[in-house]
Amino acid sequence: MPSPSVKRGVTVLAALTALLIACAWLSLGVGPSPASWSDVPGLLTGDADPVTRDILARVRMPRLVLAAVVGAALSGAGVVFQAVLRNPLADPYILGVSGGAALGAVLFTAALGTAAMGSVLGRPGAAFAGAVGTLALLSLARVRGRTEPTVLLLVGVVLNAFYSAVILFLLTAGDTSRFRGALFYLVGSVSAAASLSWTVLASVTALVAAGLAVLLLFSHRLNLLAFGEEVAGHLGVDVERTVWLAVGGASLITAAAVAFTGLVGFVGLIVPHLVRTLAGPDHRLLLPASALGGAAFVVLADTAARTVVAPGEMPVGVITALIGGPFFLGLFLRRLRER
Amino acid sequence: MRGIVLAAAAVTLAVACGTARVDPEVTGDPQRIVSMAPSLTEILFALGVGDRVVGVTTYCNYPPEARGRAKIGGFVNPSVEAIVALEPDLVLVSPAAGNRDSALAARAAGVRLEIVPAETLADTYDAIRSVAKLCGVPARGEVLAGAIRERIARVSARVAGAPRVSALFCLQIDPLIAAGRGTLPAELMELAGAINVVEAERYPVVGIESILARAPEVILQSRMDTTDPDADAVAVEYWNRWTSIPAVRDGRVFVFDGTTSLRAGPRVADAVELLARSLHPESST
Repeated sequence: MPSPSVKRGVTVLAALTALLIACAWLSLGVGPSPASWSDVPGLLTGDADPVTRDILARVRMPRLVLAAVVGAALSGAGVVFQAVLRNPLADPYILGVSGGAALGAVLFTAALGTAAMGSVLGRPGAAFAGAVGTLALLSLARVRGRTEPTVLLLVGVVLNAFYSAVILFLLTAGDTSRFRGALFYLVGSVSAAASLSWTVLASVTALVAAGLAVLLLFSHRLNLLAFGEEVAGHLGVDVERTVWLAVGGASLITAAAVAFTGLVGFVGLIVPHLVRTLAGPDHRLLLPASALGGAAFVVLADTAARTVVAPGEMPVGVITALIGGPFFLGLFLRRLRER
Repeated sequence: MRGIVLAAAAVTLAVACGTARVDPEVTGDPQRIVSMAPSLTEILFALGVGDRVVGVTTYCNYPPEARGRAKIGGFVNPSVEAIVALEPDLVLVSPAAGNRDSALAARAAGVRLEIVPAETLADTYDAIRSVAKLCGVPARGEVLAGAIRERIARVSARVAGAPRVSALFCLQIDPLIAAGRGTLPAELMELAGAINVVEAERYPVVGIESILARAPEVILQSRMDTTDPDADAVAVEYWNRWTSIPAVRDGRVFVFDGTTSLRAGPRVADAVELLARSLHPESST
């Protein structure tokens, strides 16, 4: 990398890290109860009262960690899908990969009962299988070696609707009173964070971090893929292998995120687009920058989700979709006009 | 014992008032009744006209005899076709989100439909009287409503001296859904000597943070799933994590069958007695 772009990279990453820290600090300090930043020192010294300690360390903290991990994973996966499919509208949610992962997770729990929630890797594993299955279905949309972007999006829409129906069926079969819980999962919520053990949270975090690290190793090859598969092949990229590893890695982190939160939508679409205007198209910078930006975005969105209707709360997916829906439409219309 | 006395009273009254007609429009007492709500099913059976009930919802699990009746579907998604096929001469419905269209469709199909609100405690008394009238047994309605009112008043009087206990009535965890202001469980727990920690109306999804901050002294956890034997353990395990909540610390998390508190039917008095035992064990001798 020539030095001006190194300097730019450092600046962008530093700025986004600062943004993430600011969002996390904000999220830690606000909520429906009066516990706030002034209680943090007491938390560290052990002087805080038990309720405040629980609220900060066992409710807000795990929740902001899960939100950050989900945001980083979905944004990172978005960047990879967009690069591999050479389509800026690709995103794990819109393509149905998140939906497949969610279905895998729900099937796992439906088959093994509530006791299976404690299994650390079972649920993410089942979610991964669902995500990979979806990719297999999406690959059927390839016609004569080419994937028409609109066809892919259409298949994704169909898969999403179908998966949502199956999930709703599984979660409410025989008992419509579970409808609200099912709705929270379908829209995507990080409220489960407070009931997950730190072991589960740490494993999900480690999975996402490892996945992102592997994808980062591929980021140079992702840059070359942008020239088209043929050119990339001439430039010495093992295209087939790169595409599969990249897509596999992106599915893994999507699955890890979705397994416990459900379908948080549009994050992988909005964040990479905004970050691209800051970081440019180089995936070596775009990928980590999007992960940081995505983490900050979902942490912020969840802060809103649990404060705007306090003491009630809404799923974070409502907030991301409220922002993401119009954003996607604008992007789509602009692309149509550019044709 | 109480049941026997009530039944005896009902029978006596039935004999005494057997020929009474209150509603002049009703030409004959309905003999084929369909109930579209668990609360109304309980009222029908408590009034001693359960033998005339031909159709109930899949949620109508009380009294046990009700389970044997033909099913018309769920509470919020009943099947109009199933209702019409039972050839009822009276269909009773309590307005709820989702059953409006089915109810109106049944009425459009020529079935006699009566709307009986059954949501609050005041509704409960009114519903018992209206159902009794509709079935041609108005006096039984007065007796039943009076007996419930009296039992609840007795509990309230007993706990009146004791300081009120802050409590949470939880319907389900993940997401946490609680009984808010104005709901039947909230009314009943207040009569049993509690202060509801949830101030929002209806049945809000609440964050665990709000519950920690409100520090309820008692948690009344409605059994979430009667078919899953692990459900109670899951609920207990969930609450045991939050030892800073006074209710958890003091071992005052009660998992129980919440349907008595959630149905505006004849068992509301049972509910108040049960809630009072959890909230004020010292006054419940």
